[in-house]
Parts: sequence; structure tokens; C-alpha cells
Amino acid sequence: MATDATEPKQVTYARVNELVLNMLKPPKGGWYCLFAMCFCAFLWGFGSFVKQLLMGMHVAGINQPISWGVYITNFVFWVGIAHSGTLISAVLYLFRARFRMPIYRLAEAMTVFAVLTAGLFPLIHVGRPWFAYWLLPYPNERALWPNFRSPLLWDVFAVSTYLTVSTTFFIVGLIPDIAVARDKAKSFFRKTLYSITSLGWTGNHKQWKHYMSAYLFFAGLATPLVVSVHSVVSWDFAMGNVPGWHATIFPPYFVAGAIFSGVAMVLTLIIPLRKVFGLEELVTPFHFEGMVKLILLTSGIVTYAYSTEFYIAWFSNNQFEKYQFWFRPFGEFKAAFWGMFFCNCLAPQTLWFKRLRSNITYLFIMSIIINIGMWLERFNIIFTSLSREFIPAMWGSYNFSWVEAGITVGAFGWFGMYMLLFIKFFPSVAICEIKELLPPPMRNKEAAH
Amino acid sequence: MEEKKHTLSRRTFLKIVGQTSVVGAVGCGNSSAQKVLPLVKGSEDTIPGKSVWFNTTCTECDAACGIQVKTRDGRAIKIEGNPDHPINKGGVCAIGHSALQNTYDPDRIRQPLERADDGSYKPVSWKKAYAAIAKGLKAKGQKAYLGSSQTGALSALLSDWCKAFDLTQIDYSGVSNEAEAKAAELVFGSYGIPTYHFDKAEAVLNFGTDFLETWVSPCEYARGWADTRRSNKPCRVIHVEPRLSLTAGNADTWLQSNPGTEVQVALAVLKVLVERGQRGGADAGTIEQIKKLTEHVTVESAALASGVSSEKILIAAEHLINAKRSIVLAGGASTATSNPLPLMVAANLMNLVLGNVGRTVNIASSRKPSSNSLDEVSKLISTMQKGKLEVLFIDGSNPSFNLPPSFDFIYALKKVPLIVSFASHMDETTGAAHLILPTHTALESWGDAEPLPGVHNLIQPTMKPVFDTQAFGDILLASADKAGKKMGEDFLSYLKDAWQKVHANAATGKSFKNFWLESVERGGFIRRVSANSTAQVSSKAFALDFSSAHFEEKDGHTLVLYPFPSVRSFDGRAANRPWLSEIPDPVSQVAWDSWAEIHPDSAKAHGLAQGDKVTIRNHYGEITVNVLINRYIHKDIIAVPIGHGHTGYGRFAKGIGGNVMQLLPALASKDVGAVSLLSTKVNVTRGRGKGDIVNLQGSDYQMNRHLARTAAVATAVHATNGHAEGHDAHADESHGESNGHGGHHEPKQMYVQREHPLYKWGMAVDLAACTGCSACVVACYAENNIPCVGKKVVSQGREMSWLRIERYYGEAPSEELSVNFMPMMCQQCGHAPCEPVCPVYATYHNEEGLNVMVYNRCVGTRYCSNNCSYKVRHYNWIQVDFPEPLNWQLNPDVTPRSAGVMEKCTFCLQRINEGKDNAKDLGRKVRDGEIKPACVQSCPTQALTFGDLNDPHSEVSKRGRDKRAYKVLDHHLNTQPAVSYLENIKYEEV
Repeated sequence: MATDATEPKQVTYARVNELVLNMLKPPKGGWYCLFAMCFCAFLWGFGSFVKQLLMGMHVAGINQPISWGVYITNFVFWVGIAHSGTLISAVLYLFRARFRMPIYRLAEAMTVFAVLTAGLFPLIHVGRPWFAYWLLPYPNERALWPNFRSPLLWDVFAVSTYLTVSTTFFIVGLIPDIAVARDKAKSFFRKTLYSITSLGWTGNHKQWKHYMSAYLFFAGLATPLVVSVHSVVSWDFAMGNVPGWHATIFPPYFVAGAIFSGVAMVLTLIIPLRKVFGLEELVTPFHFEGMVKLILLTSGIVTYAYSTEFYIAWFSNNQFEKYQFWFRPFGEFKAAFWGMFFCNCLAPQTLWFKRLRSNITYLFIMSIIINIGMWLERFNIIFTSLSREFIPAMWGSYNFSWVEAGITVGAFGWFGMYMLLFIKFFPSVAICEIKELLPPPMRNKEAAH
Repeated sequence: MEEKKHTLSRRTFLKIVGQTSVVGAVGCGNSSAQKVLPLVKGSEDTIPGKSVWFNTTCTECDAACGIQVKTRDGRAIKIEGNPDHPINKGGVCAIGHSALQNTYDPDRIRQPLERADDGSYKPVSWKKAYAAIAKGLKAKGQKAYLGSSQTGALSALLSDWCKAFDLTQIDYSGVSNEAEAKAAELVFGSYGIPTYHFDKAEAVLNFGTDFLETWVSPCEYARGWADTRRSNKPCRVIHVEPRLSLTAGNADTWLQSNPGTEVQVALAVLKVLVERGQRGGADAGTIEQIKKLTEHVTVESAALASGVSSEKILIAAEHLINAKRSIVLAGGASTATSNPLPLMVAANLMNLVLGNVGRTVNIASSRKPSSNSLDEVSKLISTMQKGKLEVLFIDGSNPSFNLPPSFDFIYALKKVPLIVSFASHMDETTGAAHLILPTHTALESWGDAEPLPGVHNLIQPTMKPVFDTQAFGDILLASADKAGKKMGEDFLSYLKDAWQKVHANAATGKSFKNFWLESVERGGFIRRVSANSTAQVSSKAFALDFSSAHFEEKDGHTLVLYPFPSVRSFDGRAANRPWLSEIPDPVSQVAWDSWAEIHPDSAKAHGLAQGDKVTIRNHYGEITVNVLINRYIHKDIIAVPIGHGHTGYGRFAKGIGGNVMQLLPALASKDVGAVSLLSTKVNVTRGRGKGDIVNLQGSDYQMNRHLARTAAVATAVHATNGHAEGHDAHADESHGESNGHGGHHEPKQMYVQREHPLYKWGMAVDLAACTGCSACVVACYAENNIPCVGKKVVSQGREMSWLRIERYYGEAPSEELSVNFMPMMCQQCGHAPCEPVCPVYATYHNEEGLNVMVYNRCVGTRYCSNNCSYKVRHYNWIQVDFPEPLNWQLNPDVTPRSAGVMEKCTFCLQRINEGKDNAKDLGRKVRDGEIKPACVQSCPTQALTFGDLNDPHSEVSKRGRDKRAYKVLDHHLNTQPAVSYLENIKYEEV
């Protein structure tokens, strides 16, 4: 099917309301099925976590020397996913990139829920999570402070800041749309819920004026976070002296990777949503085109970063780095490396072909491939580097564990539960912003032009 | 009424508060927390927090090293070497340390036991037990005692006891060095293993003895060896053995010989020596006989038979001739063939013609090995099988385990109506006894030993018995009493009586009481014996059959079975001690298991791969163990360590590996009463199931990282100022700021450096003296309450060892073999990578230069472990409990750690604090050498030195300035470790 990548013009305001609010209708069997699946996955993960809490960290597969493993991989993965939300809503807003309009709400929701997921992993990962609050700089009678030199502490600050700002931004953006939902809501529960959450929005001029400046302000506030959060996360590695971690390219490389995976995740979510709720009129090939461009750009950046790592390892003539970057493609975990290379570097290149990138099914598959690739990228950085450090006598390998698998799957369940609840309770497509793109409904259409 | 409902009465309030706090306390409780009870009634002579030390003697092997046992509140918590003892001079081996776990073994026999009809044991009172034993002693018919002949006064008492009750006393102990003693008798004229002065030797030619591991007196020899290695003229060690043992790995040259052919090499060298005019102390007649003996041997024929090239044989001979003093040794597992004497005789003849006797080989001061009389054991077994033996007394020598089953001992045991065991552990043999009278361990009993003439060791109890046991001597005396023959009151007075003679010989002029007290305090009495004896070569020596060993074989038996003792398992007597299982074997790096070492080619030929199990069988039996493919082992042999594969003994020993003794024939070595270990061939097939070998070494090679460095002797020892040639190899990767110019140079630093106003603790590790024996590792476990996590957890890479011995076969697989053992502990970096990454300051740098770890503050992010370049941090993945009474050994000065926190070497902070406290009491600074961390103290070769780096005159500072000194990874990472390593030295092949 040859689709035309143009902006949606033909839809009316009423149609937008209808399409979006249609999504809030009571769920059907399919939704319940999906929710049950997510809930089961969550239960598996929760059970695994409880097991680990009671029995100790040894139920996980990490060991000496691979003391960080799946949990930190998942943490970085989810933080990365959380990235594109703010990019799409804030940065692209400031750049007035029009393709963001129908997808940004979903991307923001994804951001908030992904941060909520990511934030769990440091707690799951530490040996004594009941003391995790020691990482916060709170005043105490023993005058004990956290170590401000530690990248892990900055992780805490970065992620909590990001969660706060992205949540605020998300909620602010929702207000006018909730008001629309409130106006159409029939049940008592929904009416109450929307009345409260729309904060008395009436849509008058004054409100719109304040709203728009607040939105611009938050967009400005959130924009540096797009760069900072994942840069800080990358310090977890770059500040370490582990061969394969200790590289100055990590911050930009991580940010690009995060956007790459985030956009892919948006695609993974929006494509089925569009199909199920018939949003083809709102989310058109034009929007996909924009996202594909972003994917191609970031794929290029990560590919460049990968090759830089290899180049620097060779150029520095540092034998530890050189061994590490020989080990990645040819050592024990080579499957992960080549998997990553295929998913992140080779496969996205097919999107240069218009025929392929305009095929929505192909895009969906590609988005999943990219997500797998980005998980493998973190796996490579963490596992492969740690398994071949300075002392050859302490080189080691990793043992698979069901607890880690459970928690990983459980995280997807946890995230999925939030997403499913969200699309049933709040408008997943920004009604008012789409309307901005549409010709306003006027009695005399000719006079409008 | 209505109002009352809402008022909370005081009583209710208190109730609720009480209940909630109980609930809260229960809920929050750490599972490892335990009740703390104060000592209600203190004893007068103990100071809380102060240790009491006892000097006594180690009884783990026949070496009889002097040890000091540290006790706290009446419990022995640590064993250390006695620095004043002439044998070990302060070092203790791994097994010696583990004697504590022998005493605190949770599987020890806790009270006298009697076997019920259904085969189970039920506790009986000592009174009843004595009544039963008296009945046995008074029984008519044949009676026998089978076991170790014991030492000193106990040995005398035992033989008196056996005589008094008409018992046939048959000596039996697992490992024996009888062949060496017999060979000495043939050549030197006196039975016993001579004292070897390694420290005086310039060259050592060693046929198979593992003198750095288990052979005769390893601590003593290792110290002698290390002393010469550190000297200006290090001795050159040439080792001949088919397998790469720890001793072979430490040798300068390892000549891999075909199994059982060493005698040909020995004869060829002997021939060359005599041809080159070496006479030494040999008279003309002897020289003639040697010439006649070596008539048909040529260097070429020896080379052909042994696989050692003729050049190397000639070079070996050349080194012996050139050395002013040398030692030729033969013994150990590779020589325990069916005919072991000829090789040892040839070695002794070499010592004779080289003039070593009386110089490096002291035949006047010789050790009497524990004797084994397998002929008599065989006779006893046939008597037992005929059902003629009424009563059998046994001790902990455990023939059911270490006597090959082909002797049919286990079957014969069933025919004996009454078996009485005097053992402290429920080993395989004791498990068949009808009556068990549990004995004290050496740490709980009195005794003595005279390993060498004039060295009178005392064994004294260091603590009250852990269980309801009695001393062996007391059991003998009391049972004799009950059986109607009074032999003495108690063993202590018997021992004192025996020492009257020592007192008389000593002629110290002191009263016996004072002499005794002094001896008890010092752990014995050393009398200088000045005896000189000349060698008397027996003509019998030349009448032996000097051909290569023959191996029993049948169709399909392709590989020679090569059992060997190791520093961990020895002969299996220490199998139930978790420390020894938990630490890896230093050469193979295998923990918690036995294994079969096999060459890759033979493995391929037999369809074996790494990670498989292998079934080794012959007509005597079969065992299945894990495969360990090792390219440095001889192609014709399959080597399996002795001492594993227990079916009883205890929870830590049972079911670990396979018992290689099951494959051996019922064959005593010719002219010697010991089991012939190297005598049979076996069939090798892939075993069923997946292998579960636990190998702790990540990479066998250093990958050109120069972590454990070796320098050629010529450059390391003789280099004056300027660039030593041996260092040039590292110059390219050390950016010119590393060593080579006489020690490690501190590079210029960009940032302001930390100040260490009072002390800066540091360590120096001399790789030239480190044998890899792993004594320090066990010492560290003992001192720092390091838990043993077990096979499964170790296999997951979660061992807790703060100190490990890394073993490298060389820089890269393509290069020549160059074995290096490297103790790796926390380097206490000046710029520690672990410190800045901890988000909660659980690890920080203290003002004495240590990376301190605050366990209570640790959250468990494990970032410090990732960032530790030396990988010496260990995380508590699981909560390990020490089963009662193993926990009695825990050091009260060291906090036990709970799951979820990181831990690491602290340079034994508790000892540093104790040393500082003591110095403070005396109003001075700590003196050099006053503080010794556990590893430093235990090292038999003193390869480790600890001290204050602020003091330029301290030993550790001096060693740090040595031209061999370097710091690991420092020039790459600028970590500024406080540990300096001194390069290993090796002679280059000529």
C-alpha cells in the first residue's frame, strides 16, 4: 500500500474528539487478556524479587568478577527508553517539529512509566535495599553524607530529577485533554477523576495563555535533562576504570543510544495502538517518516560510537582496551556483540528504502529489533567488559539465573500494566495539539482562507 | 461508659508498646544476629580481649613443626608457626593451620559409641566403654593393633600396652617415606631421611620429591630453598618428573621424564659425574662399583628411555659438577613405583660422589619416617579373613580408605567379632568399629615427638576438650587398669617420667620441675647434637635391579595411573576441613574436588574434553572424576590427587571427588612396606554425566600483562646500577617510569598527595620466595573469619578468599612455560579506584594508607568490586553459617560479615591496632616487624613482609627499593599500591 506522507488535514475537531475519546471506552476482552499477561509477568518478577530479598543476591546469576549484570542492563535500558519521551515532547516542541503532535502523549506516558521501571532496578540490584536511602543526602545525627564523587549518587539525583520533571510536564500537558474527557464522561467515577485531574480547566483565554507559557517553560526546563540524564547514567561506566567503560565518548554515545531505543519503543507502542483504535487518520505515515529519520540519525551516531571505541582501543595501544575490543567480537559473548551490531547498525539501514520504511509492519518489526539491539548493547558494555578486566586470573563468566529472567520479564509486565491502564483512563493522543494542526471549524470555510 | 471506651489506660498502653516493639524487633532482626552473653564468672588469669598463646607441636604430618596456638577465652582460634623452632622457623603449612578445624569438626565423634545390632551407634558412658574394652583386652585368641605407631612417649606406651595384652602391633599410616629412609641406609649406612640443608646448596637435582609441598618436612625445606633463592648465589633447581607439580613449577628447569624411567637419568648423571672425576666421600671400591653399575648405561640410552634429551642430562650433570655444594633428591609420588629403591640409591650415590654428605646432606641428623609394614598388614588381613582374629584395635589411620581395596581389608573387617577404634573422627574404618573410644586431637592432649635427634617437641593441650573425649594415652592407661594391668596413673605423669631422661641428657643444671615448665612454655627442648658420621655404602645397594619401572597392564589399559599428594588433600587425613577444600589447589586451581589431569592429545585420543567426567578403571576398581586438560602433563599418564573420594568421615569430605587408591593393586613396593602408587595402567573412557569441575583460574596465561614477573638470575642478582637487561622486556609498556633503575620509582603526581603522618602500612611480596603453597590463604581464612561457601557457590565465582594465589603458566600460550605463583591481596592503593565510586563512603582511605571498609555502611552496589583493578574485593552473596562448633574458631577481633556487604583484605587491621596499642602502652612507636598480618606470619618462606613505608629503614621499605621491586598495574593506572612485588628469579637454560 502506497501511503502518502502528508500531514493530516482532512480530519475535523469533532472527529479527533471522537477518535481519541473512543479509546477511553470500557475495555474489551483483548485488553483484559493483555492486562492479565502483564500482571502475570509482574507477579513472576515480584515473586523473583521477594525470593532474592529473602535468600540473598546469590539467586541472581551475577558473581565475581561480573558484579553488575542483568539488573544494571535493565536499568540503563529503561532509562534509555524513558529518554525519547522528553525529547519528543520538549525538544521537538521547541523546534516546532510537527510530526511529534500525535505521538508525544504516548511518548511522555512511556517516559514516566519507563522511569518508574528503571528506578526499581537500582533497588533490586543493591545487596541491602533497605539501606538504599543512605544514598540520599539527608541530614542525620551522625553527620554522614553520601560521597558526592560517586557516579552512583549522581544517578540518584539524575533519575529522580528526571522523574519529577517529566511527570510534571506530562501532567501539565494532559490538563486540557482531561477537560475534554471530563466533558464527555458519563460515569460518576470518571467524572470525578477527570474533574479533579483537569484542575478546573475551562479552556478560556487566560487559562490558555498561562498554559502555553507554562508548557514552554517546562519544555525549556526538560530539554537539558534530555542530555544530562543519560550522560549521568553513562558516567556509571565512564568514570570506572574498567577496560571498555573508561571512555569519554560515553555521554553522547549513551544519549544517542537512548533516543534511538526510545523512538523505537514509541513505534512499538503506537503501531498496535493505531491499528486497534483505528487512529490511522491521526497518526499518518508523515509521523512515522519523522520518527524513522530520527532512528536513522541515531543509528548512525551509535554506529559511529561503536567504531570510535574500536578505533581508540587500537589507537591508544592500551593492551587492556585492545584485548577488550578483541574479546567483544570474538570472545565468549560474541553472539551478543554481533547481535547488537546487526540490530543497531545493519538492520536500521534498510530504512533508507522508502518501500520498507513506509511499510508499517516492517517498522514494527524493526522497532522490536532495535529494542533487542539496544538491550544487547548494554549487555555488551556491562557483561563483556567486566568479564575481562586487568587480572587474567580473575577473568570469569556469567551464569544464567531464572530470578534475573523473571525480574526482567516482570519489568515489562509492570511497564505494560501502567501503559494499559493509562490508555484506558487518559487520552493517549494529544487532542488539543492535533487540533492545532487542523483547520479550525468555521461556519464559513471559504472566509477562513 | 462511652467515654471509657476511648481512653487508653496506662496498662494497655504499655502492653501495646511492649507487643509492638517485640513484633518490631522480631521483624527487623538480622538472621545472623545472636545472643551476646557476658562472662558471668571470669577466671582470674584471663584478661578479657587478650589472647593466651601456647607453644606446642603440629601433628598433621611427620615433620613435627613447632606451632603457637592462640587462644581466647579458653578456645583455640589460630595456629601460627613458632619462630624459635629449628624446623619450621615460624611458618606453618595449609594443613597445619587447618588443625583447628579438625578439633572443631562438627562431625567429630562426640562421646564413646557402641554399635547396636542394627548397625547404628548409640552413646555409652566411658565406664561402660572401658568395661567393654577390658573384656576385649582380656579375650583369649588373637588380638591386634593396626595403626600409626604414634610419637615419643605415646609410642612407647602403645608398644608396652600391646605387649602387655599380647597384641600384635602392626604399623600403618597412609603416606610413608620409608623408601627414602631405606635408600639412605643402603648408601649412608644409617636408616632415616637425612637433613638436607637447602640454604647451603648451589644446585639441586630433584627426582620427583615434592619438597615444597608434602615431602617429609615441607616447611623446613621450603624455608631453606627460599633462603638460597634470596641469596647472592641462588641455588639452581632441576626437577625431573612427568607431571608439573608445584615443586616442578618452582624449579628453574623442569625435565619431563617418562613415568618410571627417572632411574636411567639418575644413572646416566651418576656415570658422568664419576667419569668427570667426582669422588667426594666415596672410597675407591665404591667408585669401582659405581662404574660397574653404570657400565651399560649411556647418556643416550637414558635419554631414549626417559624422553629427557641427552643434552639436558649432560647440562644437569654439569651444573652439579660446577656447584660447590649441591643436593640430589629422589622420592615422592613419581618415584613410588613397585621398585623405588634403585633411583633413591642412585641419588644418594650422587650425593656421595659430589661430596655433599656432611655438607648439605646431614646423615647424622636423620628422621625416622612412620613405618608401614604392608607385609604384616597382608598377613593380618588373611588372619582376619580366616576369622581367627578376635579383637582388632585401630586408630585414625583409616586403612579402609587409603589402603587399596584390592587388599580386601574392608571385607576382612567384617569377619572380626570386635573392632575397637581410638579415633577422633568417624572415618571409613572407624565406621566399621563395634566400640569407639573417641580421642582428643593434638590441640587437646599431651604428648611429645622427636622428629630429629636432639629436637624434643612437646605437645600440650591448648584448650579444654570440645567433646566428651579422652586422650589416647589416658585411654590406653585406663583400659589397662580396667583389664587388670596397671601401667600408670595418667598419661601426663607417664610423659613426665619419659622426659626425665630428656632432662638427664640435657644436663642443663636445672631441676626437672623448672626444666619441664620451661620446655612446656617453649614447646619443647632443643639439644645440640654434634654427631658426625661417615657414609658406609652397603654392597646390597648395587645388587638392586636398576631397570625402569614396570606397570601392570591389561588390554585396553593405555595410560599410567599417577596418584599424587597435594598441599590440600595430602593423603586424605584432612579431608573434612572446609578451609582445605575451599582453597584451590595452587597448580591446577581446582577447588572442592579431585580431578584427573590429562594431556590434550591423550584426552583427544580418549574422547575427552574439558568439562567432561572421566571414568578411570582397571581390574581393581573404577572411579569417575572431572577431567582437567593440561598441556604440561606427560602424554602417557593420567594424574589424580590422593585423599579425595571419602564415603564417610564427615559432611565436607563425603562424596567429594574419587578415591584413586581404589585403582591400585595390593602391592607393596619392593623392599619397602608402603603402597606402590605408580604401578598400574588404566583404561580411560568418558564418564557419564556432565563435569562439574570448579576451576578458579580465569586465564592460565598473563596475556603479556607482566603482572607476575620473572627475571633471569644473571640480571636480577648480579646487575649493578644501570638498566638491568631483564627489565627491558617491560620497558616498552611501562613508559620508562617503572623499575629497572634499582627499585620502583614513584612517578611524579599531578595532584596533591595524601599525607600519612604517622604510619603508612605496606607489604612486599618476594615472588622468588613464594612457592604457591597457599598457607597464607588458609591463615587468612582463619584470622579473618572468612566463610567457606561450598562447592556450588565457589563454582559460581563467589568464593570469599581475601587472598588468593594466582598461578600463571607464562605470558602467552605460545611462549615457553614459565610458572609463576602470585599472592594477590588488597593492594591498599594510594589512589584506590574503589574509593571514589562508593556512593555512601563505605570504603575510604585512612590516614595510615589503608583502604578501610565499613561493613555496616555498605549498601551493596558492588561498584567498588567492578572498579577494583586487582579484583580483590569479595561480596557476601550468601549468608554462611559456621556449623557448631566450627564457629568456636571465629576470631573475636574480627566482625563477621552478613550477606549483602562487600569485604576485603585489611592487612589484618585488628593486628595493626593491637600492635599500636601495645606500642602506645610502652610509650613508643611500633617497631619494624612487630606487627605481622596472618599471611605474613604464616609464610613458611617469609616471602611476605609487612611494615611501615614511612620508615625508610623498615624491612618492607628496603624490599620496596630492591631492584627487583615493582608494583602491579601501577604504571598503567597510577593506583599507587602499597604492595610491592619482587620479581621471581629463574636461571635461564644454558
